[in-house]
Amino acid sequence: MEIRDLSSYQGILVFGKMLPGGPAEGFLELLGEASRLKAQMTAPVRITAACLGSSMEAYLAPLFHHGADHVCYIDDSRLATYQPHRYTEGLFAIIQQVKPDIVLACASYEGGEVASAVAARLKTGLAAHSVSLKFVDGEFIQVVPAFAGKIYGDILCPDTRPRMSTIKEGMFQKLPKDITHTGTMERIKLPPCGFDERIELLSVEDEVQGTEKSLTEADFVIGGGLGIGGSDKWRFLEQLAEVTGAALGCTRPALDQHWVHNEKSMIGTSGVIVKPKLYLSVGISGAAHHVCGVNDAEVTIAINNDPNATIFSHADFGICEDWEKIIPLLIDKISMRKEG
Amino acid sequence: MKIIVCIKQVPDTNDVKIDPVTGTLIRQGVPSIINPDDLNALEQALRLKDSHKDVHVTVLCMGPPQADVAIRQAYAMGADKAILLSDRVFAGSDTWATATILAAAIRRIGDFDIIFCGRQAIDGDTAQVGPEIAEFLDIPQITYVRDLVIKGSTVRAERMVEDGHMVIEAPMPVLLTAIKELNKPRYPRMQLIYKAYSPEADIVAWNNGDIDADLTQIGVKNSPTNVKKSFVPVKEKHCIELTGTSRAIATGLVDELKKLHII
Repeated sequence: MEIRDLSSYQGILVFGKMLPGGPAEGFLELLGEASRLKAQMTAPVRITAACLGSSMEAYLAPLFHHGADHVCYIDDSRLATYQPHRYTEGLFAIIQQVKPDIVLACASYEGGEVASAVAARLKTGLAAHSVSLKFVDGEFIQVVPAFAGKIYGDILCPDTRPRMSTIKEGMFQKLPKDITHTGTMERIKLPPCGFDERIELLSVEDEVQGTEKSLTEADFVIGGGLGIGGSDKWRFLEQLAEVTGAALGCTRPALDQHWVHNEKSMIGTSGVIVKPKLYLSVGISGAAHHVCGVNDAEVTIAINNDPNATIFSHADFGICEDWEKIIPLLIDKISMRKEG
Repeated sequence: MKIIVCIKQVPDTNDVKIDPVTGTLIRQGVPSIINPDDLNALEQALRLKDSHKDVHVTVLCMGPPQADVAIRQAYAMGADKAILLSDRVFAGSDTWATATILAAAIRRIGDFDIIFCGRQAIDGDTAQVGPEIAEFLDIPQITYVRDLVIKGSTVRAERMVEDGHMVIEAPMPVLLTAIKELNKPRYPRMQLIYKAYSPEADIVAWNNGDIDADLTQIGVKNSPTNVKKSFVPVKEKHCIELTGTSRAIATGLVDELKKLHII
């Protein structure tokens, strides 16, 4: 690996998604984490928010209010819809302009692939799906999960800059809004995009079924696993979710059984990370990759008829019973309570 | 049409056990499999071979000598050629260095229209190697492909994005990454399993002498990232067991829901 002049790379750059009305929640969360890192660094650090999109200038203010000192952005009609080759050129141009020491990018489908392509081009390291970032004795450590969260690794990127990480939405907390916090804006141009004449975008279709959003935002999340035992029985969970206003998610095995059709209902490291007030796990054994997605629940209750299920060591309350003896009763009780 | 499918041999994640003291993997007795998403990539390549004339499928696998079984399995599923890319100098490569090596091997193969990878491997879940290879080869990429149609020298792919999907057309050569929704991989055929272990099978082993990847860019020493240590996350809680009749438990749950202001 070639050694570059590392000291010429300074500050933290955060790359997140701009939605039509403003920055995505995950963008603000990464700014929050950048601010916490900034507090650990001795030299003065500037936090830059990198934005790609079209007609978004009016919506950039929240980035400052949540920790950005600087916004470097490309506003171009060609960026109205995500296209990997254009976004790669855009992010690459912003990084060349800002020369950050650390880059945090949202580990969405889009963010992950753009970060990969940019890291390849920058000849630098990219830690995937970091769950923790910290300085220990001056060393920047990016903690990543492997083997579906069964094992974690401390990743270093000693000789190249920037040091890049992707982070899933829901992993970190955003800062409280501070409308007095302001910063500087810098607009740059989108460079020519190599494959533009060759790649044609024919259509874009939204498939949001409401599930994902509500899973990440719900106060009460119910998760169902293989122990539910059939798509006809899955309806009990749907019913419980309905009467309690809960969001319903599932594990990989339940998804593989086609009891649930939306892949984005899957809770875990390779799915959605939830942090509700209450997580009710039903018929879930507690595989590491699932548990990693629910660790931030304030209270976890697990129902499983296997006393040795791993899920119990991650739960505050455990019920070792057939769920079919409990859930229908619970639905009745809550329904009666509502009617009464 | 020439298709190169990149596959990786991985330990079956479900069976992986971790030594809680050393924080390392216990490999003994853990079965190795072809990474699931890579099987979807291979399956799609084989379907193109089944439905189009003159399709040639090469499987490329970087790994230790033991990965030989993976490329023979891929061959037995119907690939025309399989290459095991194995060399001590590759060991410990991170995603950047791995993509560098695979791109060098692909350049050595030379003639290709589609590079097909799985979306991500179940050991690291990074989803980085595919996009990095595309970047190194300077070809367009379409990731998270769940449907694919070939039209002359163009691919039309339906790709997943965070909130839905897009339909994209790109000319070959192009790099695609497959997700499990793309297809259901076939099983190896008995007849081809025999052939895969016979001398007539077009299965070769390459080392770095064959592909000439830049030694200053690969392996554990030249990877941009390195793993300082690995450890087992400790997140155990003290679990209070709720017991009693079903009715009592259900009442307890209702109380808990009330306490948390959920109902």
